[in-house]
Amino acid sequence: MVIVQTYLAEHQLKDYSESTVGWIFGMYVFLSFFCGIQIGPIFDAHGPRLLILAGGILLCLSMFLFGLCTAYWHFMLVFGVLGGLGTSLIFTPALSAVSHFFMKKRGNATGIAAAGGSMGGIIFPLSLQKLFPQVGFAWATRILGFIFIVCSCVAVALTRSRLPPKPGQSVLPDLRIFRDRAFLLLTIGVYFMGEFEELQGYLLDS
Amino acid sequence: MEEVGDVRDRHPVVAHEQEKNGHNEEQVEDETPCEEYPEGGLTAWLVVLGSFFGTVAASGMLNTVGICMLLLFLVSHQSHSKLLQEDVVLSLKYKRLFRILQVLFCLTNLLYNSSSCYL
Repeated sequence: MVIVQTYLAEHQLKDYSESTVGWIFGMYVFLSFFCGIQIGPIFDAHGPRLLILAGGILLCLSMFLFGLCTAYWHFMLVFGVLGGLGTSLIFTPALSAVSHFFMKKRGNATGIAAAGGSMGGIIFPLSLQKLFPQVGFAWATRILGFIFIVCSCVAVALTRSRLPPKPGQSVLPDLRIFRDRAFLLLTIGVYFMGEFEELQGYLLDS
Repeated sequence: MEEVGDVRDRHPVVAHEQEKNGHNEEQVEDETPCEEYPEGGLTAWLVVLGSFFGTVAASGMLNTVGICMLLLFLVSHQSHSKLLQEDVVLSLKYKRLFRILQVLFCLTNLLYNSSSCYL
């Protein structure tokens, strides 16, 4: 039953309480979604390729350094900050790029693209569970890093945007989009809908 | 005077019609790019494939963390329970339950994501 966080709580970070260890993963999930605020406008202005390349490098670096971590702040910096930034840099532009090519079939195409996350969610925990006893923590996460290199290379090679940026568009987030009331309500609704991962965060705190 | 009045009456109508036309043109302008979306073809589906691989890495890691958090929660609450500490057989059962739960969560997630294909 030993996967990343459980493993850390029992080995490297056994002196820390579970909720303290949970902060590392909370930081990771927070940054993965929060950085989208800035990454979205950059994607609109410059396209997805450089963003996904940067994200792939950060995520793989995070996975390769993960095995070398010993102290609490190492984990916070390497997994929480580096990994969170990398995840955000990959997944925001990857899903936005699909919507440049589809209008009527947008739900279909985005659904297929997002199903990749579920596939990863099945493969990675199961493979980590098998790998920890066989090759140890450091090499198990490194193997994950190698898988991420392959995935990022395919993503960088294939993902591109189609629609040109609007003239005079800034790379800073534009809050005027909330003047549209329907969009504002939608945003608030999605905010409260939450995600599977955030639900786990609440569970952990309670 | 009546003629003038007629003209005054007409003006707003004309203006209104012009507004309508203008509005229609704007709508057409809004809709034309929608029709220009490729909606398929090799490049578009290759982007979907690339995006798929991107989300395997990014959202895959997110989902892994989510599952880890849930398991940590369950395991930590299991250790507090006296029943499980006393009864080894039961704890073995729970280990199986965790494994089933883990696979179930993965499958639900897959269903949840792929169901958006049909929206």
